[in-house]
Amino acid sequence: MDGVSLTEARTFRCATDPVEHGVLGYHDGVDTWTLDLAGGLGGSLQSFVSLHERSHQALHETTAWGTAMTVLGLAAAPGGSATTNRLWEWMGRGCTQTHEQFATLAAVEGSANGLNHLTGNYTYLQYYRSACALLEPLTHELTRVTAADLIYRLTMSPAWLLEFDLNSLLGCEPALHPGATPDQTLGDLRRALSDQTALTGLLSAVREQRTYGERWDAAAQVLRTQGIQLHYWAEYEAWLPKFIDEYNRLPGRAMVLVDSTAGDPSQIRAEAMQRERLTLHAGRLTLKWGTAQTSGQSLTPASFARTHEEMGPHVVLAWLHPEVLRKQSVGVPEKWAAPRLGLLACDRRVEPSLLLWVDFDDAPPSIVAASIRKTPLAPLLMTTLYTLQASDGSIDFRGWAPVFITVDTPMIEFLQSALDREDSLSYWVIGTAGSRYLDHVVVQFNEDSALNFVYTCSVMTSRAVDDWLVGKEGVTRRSADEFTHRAALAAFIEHLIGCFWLIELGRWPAIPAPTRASRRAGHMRA
Amino acid sequence: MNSAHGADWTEIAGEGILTRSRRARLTRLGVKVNDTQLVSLIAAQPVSEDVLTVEITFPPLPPGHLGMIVPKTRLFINKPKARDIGWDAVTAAGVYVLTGSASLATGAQLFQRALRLMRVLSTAEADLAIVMASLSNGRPTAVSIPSSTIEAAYEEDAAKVMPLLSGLRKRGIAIEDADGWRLVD
Repeated sequence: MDGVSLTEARTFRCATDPVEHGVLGYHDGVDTWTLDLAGGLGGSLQSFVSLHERSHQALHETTAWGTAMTVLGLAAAPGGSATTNRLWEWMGRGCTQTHEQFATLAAVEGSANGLNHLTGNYTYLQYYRSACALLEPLTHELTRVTAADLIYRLTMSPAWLLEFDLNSLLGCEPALHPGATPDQTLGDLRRALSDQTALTGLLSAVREQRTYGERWDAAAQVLRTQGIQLHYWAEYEAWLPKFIDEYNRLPGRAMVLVDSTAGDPSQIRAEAMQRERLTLHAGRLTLKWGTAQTSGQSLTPASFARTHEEMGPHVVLAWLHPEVLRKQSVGVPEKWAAPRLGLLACDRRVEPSLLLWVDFDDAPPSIVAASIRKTPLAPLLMTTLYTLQASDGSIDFRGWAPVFITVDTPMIEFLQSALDREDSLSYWVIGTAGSRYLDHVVVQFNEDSALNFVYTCSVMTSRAVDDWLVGKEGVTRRSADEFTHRAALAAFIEHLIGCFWLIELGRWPAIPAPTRASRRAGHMRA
Repeated sequence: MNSAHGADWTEIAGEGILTRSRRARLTRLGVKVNDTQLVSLIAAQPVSEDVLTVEITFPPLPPGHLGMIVPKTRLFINKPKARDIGWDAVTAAGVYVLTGSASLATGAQLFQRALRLMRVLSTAEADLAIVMASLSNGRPTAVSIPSSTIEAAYEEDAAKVMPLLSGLRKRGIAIEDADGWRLVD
């Protein structure tokens, strides 16, 4: 895996079958997942894939094996040692069956008629069948979901792994066979579940123990009699914060340990869903740019003018941090370091497809806007939340309405801090179809209709955010019909879908590290 | 091509899940089989675990790359094990629950019960049950079918119908009412 970008690794692919139709989504084996919307993935299938990938993440962040893979994955990229990369790959291969069975079962059980989405997808039907067959002895007394929650997490929890601290794990050679993998344990578990004594013991563990940890320990104890060595709960609770603390001493992204058994479940769900990334196209565009003074014939204002059936002729004036441009395009000058103003458009009729940019550097928007207003074109102003957070605060959007601010840093933290300041908040959930099926959570603060924060996301994610926001004090959910900038929003979204290939929250080089804290073992987030 | 699992495994295309003779019989009787649905349903059932398997062939990528690769899916059947578990009954149950355009999810909910039924029926009785499911648009326990309609589906074999229905009635599997015949729920 030398030289591989882990951020683009596709460890757990979710594909149609026959697979010529392409990959619908994937989990990166580290800490996030991606839905590929370029093929028009929408409706209940989009939610199904979203749930499948989210389930990979849930299994990863609540088990020792998943935690180790996350930490190794983060430590490995970029420039990690070859040993770390080899171990990460070995761990990924060693839990593929476990992960896919769990995620497929979770997606089928978690959605109405979910199995229909697997019609003709024999590979994933086989994962589903294997999960059903494995759990069948338990499902006379337990629901499949309860049984899967226990069994697959146990599978991802080998006792040997907890004997490693971070340093020894980073130097561990998989060729030395450090211990059984989850997929190997899965086979052992299957044999164990066919043993009536073990089965009775497992069912008693679930029935008679009160807490999750007690159930876990009782189940692990039963499985030890079958030769399956899984860790006990207290051992995990002791190992996890220590392991993460060790990781946090390394340079790079920090990890925060949170207690998933405490707090608002809807917030935990929304925070989890905002990890989801959406790819709208196969890759980045090539940036073609010029300055306002020198762009000449190749980048005329006409090449930026677009029309929209409701909004009419317009141009997009964008205030963007160069990192935003780098995420979405190649060829951004290295010397660009601060947010800059420019006209933005894309041209997908040429090869390579282009992101067009006329650069005004740090010119005040009001002056540029005044020039645009002298033309027949209306200015449509956009920026991003990261751009605002990473700028010096001098940008002034007063006098502009509407401004669309694409949310590209964690949404929940952003909204929570506003709620903590007792800002009032109105929001809309607006769906768009066409070539890309997307939801947009649009937020305005303190009755200011000029600034519109737009979180473009999947239906599953918008539901999670909606569930978290609705009913909160100071928060008003409004009907889509009440949104006053519908035409401008529609035009803005068309530009967003054209110009951006990737929508994700965070992963910015300049984002300050989150507060490091270790709390009681629950699950971890990177 | 052989399976990685061993010589007992034979590669099949989607339509290979039913025996040729049964497929031909059901087609003659006017039953439409959706092969993708049928293979999907059977592949989702634990009963097929030792019988039906999918193998994925991954094309190679350059060293040091993880990429968007396109695997090829191949389906294999273990014929000796298929015979051991009464494969005809398994596939008949699949055809039975999917007849009438049931979705995969609906078919899966009904499958176990249908399999219990098919396991107590002879091949000819199972075919008849499937024909009744087909003629009733997937509702053979709710919609009564006139015997003349069933006989019409059997064409030159129409004489076989009444003895089969009588046999099913004697065993409490079918009943006759004023509108015709239906299966017992």
